[in-house]
Amino acid sequence: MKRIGVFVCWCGSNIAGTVDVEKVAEHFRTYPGVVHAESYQYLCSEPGQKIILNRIKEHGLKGVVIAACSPTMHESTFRNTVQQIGFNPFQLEIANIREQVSWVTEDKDSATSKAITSISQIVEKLKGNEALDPIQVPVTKKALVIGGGIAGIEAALNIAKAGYKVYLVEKEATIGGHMAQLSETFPTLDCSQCILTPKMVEVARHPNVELYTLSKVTKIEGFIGNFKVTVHKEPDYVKRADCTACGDCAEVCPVEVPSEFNQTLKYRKAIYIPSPQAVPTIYHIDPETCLGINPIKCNKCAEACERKAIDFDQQPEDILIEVGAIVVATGYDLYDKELMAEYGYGRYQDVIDGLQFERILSASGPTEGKVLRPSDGTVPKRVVFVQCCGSRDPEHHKAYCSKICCMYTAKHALLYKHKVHDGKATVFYMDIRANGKRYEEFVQNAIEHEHISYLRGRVSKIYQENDHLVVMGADTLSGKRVEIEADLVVLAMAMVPGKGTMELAKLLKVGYDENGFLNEAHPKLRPVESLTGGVFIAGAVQAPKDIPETVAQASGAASKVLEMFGQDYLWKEPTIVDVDGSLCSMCGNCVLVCPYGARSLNKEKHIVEVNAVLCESCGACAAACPTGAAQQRNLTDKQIVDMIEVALEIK
Amino acid sequence: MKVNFYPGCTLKTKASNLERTAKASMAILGIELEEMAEWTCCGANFSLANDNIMKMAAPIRNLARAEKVGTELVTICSACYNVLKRANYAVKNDSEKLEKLNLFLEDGKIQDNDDQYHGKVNVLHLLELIKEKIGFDNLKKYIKKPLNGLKVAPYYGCQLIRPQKELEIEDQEAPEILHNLIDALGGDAVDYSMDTECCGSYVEVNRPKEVWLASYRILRQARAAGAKIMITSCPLCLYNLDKHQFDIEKEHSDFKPVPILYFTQLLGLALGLPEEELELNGTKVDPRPVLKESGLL
Repeated sequence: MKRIGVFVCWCGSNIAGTVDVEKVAEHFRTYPGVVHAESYQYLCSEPGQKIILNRIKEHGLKGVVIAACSPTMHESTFRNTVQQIGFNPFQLEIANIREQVSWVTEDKDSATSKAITSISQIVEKLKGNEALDPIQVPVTKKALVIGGGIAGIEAALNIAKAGYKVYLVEKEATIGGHMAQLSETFPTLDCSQCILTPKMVEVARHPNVELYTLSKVTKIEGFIGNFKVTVHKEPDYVKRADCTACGDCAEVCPVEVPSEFNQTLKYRKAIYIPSPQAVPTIYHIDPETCLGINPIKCNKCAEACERKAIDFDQQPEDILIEVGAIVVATGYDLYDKELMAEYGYGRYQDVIDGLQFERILSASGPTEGKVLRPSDGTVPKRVVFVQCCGSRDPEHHKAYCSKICCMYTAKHALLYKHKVHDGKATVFYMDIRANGKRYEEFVQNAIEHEHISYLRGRVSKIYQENDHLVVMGADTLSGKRVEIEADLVVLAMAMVPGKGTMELAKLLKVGYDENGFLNEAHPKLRPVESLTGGVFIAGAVQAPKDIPETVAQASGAASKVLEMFGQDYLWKEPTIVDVDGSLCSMCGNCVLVCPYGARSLNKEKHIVEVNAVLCESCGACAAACPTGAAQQRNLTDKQIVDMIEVALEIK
Repeated sequence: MKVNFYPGCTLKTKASNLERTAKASMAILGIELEEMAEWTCCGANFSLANDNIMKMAAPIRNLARAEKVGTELVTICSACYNVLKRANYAVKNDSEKLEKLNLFLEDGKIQDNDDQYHGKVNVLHLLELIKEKIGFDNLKKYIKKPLNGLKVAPYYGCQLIRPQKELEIEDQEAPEILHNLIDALGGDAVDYSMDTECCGSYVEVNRPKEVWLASYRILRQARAAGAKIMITSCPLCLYNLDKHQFDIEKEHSDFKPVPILYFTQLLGLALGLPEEELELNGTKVDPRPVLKESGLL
């Protein structure tokens, strides 16, 4: 029988406070197969690890059970330790007696007895363990960054500068994302374009970056280190090399539609450049609104173009790229304002959202930076800002805080006062969340020095009365109902994941939460990784966040990619599910249930083929297999039955 | 086609013209509103107390009795609709509550009545019935006297549409069903921002001035949007909105009274019911001059 050692950790008083650790150790001294058992204060400490190594040598141990915290915490610590002396790491198992035992009860007797049961199960499992070697996976040292906003730009630049190839895929005609639309940024009020544009240019010009605009990822195959990705690129209908962005084409274009970049506050033509700072700096034709990508119907732009850059014959392309890592940075959109009909968005022209107000404030915006309201182009003398529109309202809208609205509303009100000195700015708020460097000071300054009136309460309705709006709400400090007249109302809408995030998440097999934001692998310790190997996340696609945080997370994601690219091979857990060909009936159940596409039926060879690299060891196939042919390494049916039997005390 | 119909107390008293015009109009549309047997008061108000079980006995008893006839129960009064539908929602989503209520019903049974509710009834407002069983497009075929673009303000109030999650009749912030009805009748439904504001409800009893202010705000907005007349489905809203108009007029010289009707009266008018059957004399603000002016009487 395998010579097994059991080590019971006190974890200070975390475990020892509830579990009688010495009694547990004593129990295992006489347990069949166990040749050594002891308890120690902190097994994860340097001396604790040394004890384990010494006992392995002294007692000639072939298996080790560490009864301590959750395996997600220290399994790799202990496995790395024993590997130093040539002990196979897969002969070491963790029994979790902290999170699942000592932390869930104060009853010492039952905790001790449950600890014994838990450890017994792991001992029984360990008896069936085989020595395994990790699986070696090669790495394609190229990265795909999806989304060309500030998060994607930052991640792409970091990876490219380290010397690796990056494909940057953006669905719009220009990179820059929402940040390019902003006027000035809190808390320093530097102009958003001025700090972003150089980065946009830098990333597009970097020799290691290949930029695909008007493009979408449509297919992802493969696995960590070895993804095969299909990028669908819509045509520009303009030859990039020949376009000088002179704009002669747009001048003659007869089609006018609301400009997306200006949040519908201005018109653009069917051939257009989203903004003068767009990268790539070329015009392109929007086929949806163009009279028909057909020179017979309208050929005005082609006639006007001296360089003959217009090319109606360009076709969509599907580009296949191979990458080792993927960074998802698809950002956010604003919550649909029409879902809050009580605020009259869509009904009243002078009810706008925060991004629209950014465009109004922006020097390159529809009003060239003058604060003019959409309905009649006059200067609004009374502006009401409403925070938390759709946020923090679990009953009707989104339960979460969108995090940036307190800050940008303060900025909006302040910039408004800078431009309209005799204007009155009122902010409806729930509470002020200004927790960032120099954030609180910024808001206080807005309140005290700019005389912006902050009114704590919620707005119930906005309606039109003659030429102005009336904002009905509650002042929850005085307990009174208030009605405030306004010439313009700015709604701080909740941030939601960008359109198409969910479809992309499904392609990537990355989890998302109830609001559609992508899930990180661990909320504290692995914030830029997803649970799918090789896929990293950055920016507002993970949760609402501001620019500094987004940039930090993008750099973090890039450094995780570089960590991968620093190795020639990746090592993967070998506890995959094999197939015993002599038992397999080729029913195909395991292929159907595999969420990772790791299994396939080879009818010619009459076997089920398992891609060891794709297999994530979830065990779904082993559970679905009716004959027992699919067995997970080191978690076979026999091991599971042994564990159950010892737990039920029938063994 | 016959449908099981719950009139409620107000339709037997103050708002009897609502019942009569509804029945007469629906008869033209081929639907007979058949009054359910042994109905009682709906409870009048849906209790928002945490322990509201006793308050739900009345609506659930009615639903139990309706269940013996079929799975549909049609009502018109906004308050009855609100109470019946919310009580129904509560027990459909809480089997323990339903069980308790059935025990109450068992306890309080009179003679051999075996009222037990199984959660199978679907409560419908008459507007929903028209929308679903006849359809607004189809309704146009029955119109004898189109409203000639008469500008009508639809007034929803609260009880017909809130809370949306439980009633599911319309978007509580931007309802359309009365708008659609008006348009189908050949009228012009005006958009104004107060169509879902509260009329003041029972505050009328102790602070009538508040109801004044609420009425003034609603009616003024409707007028500003061009409305000549207003319709509603709620007897209490009609009462409140109608009652103070001449007083408001005295205080605000710019105010012009807006006659208010039940939607069934306007429906009946368009369907060609004779004037005497429309019972247009129930309100302080007489609607007849406006209707005559528009050539509808």
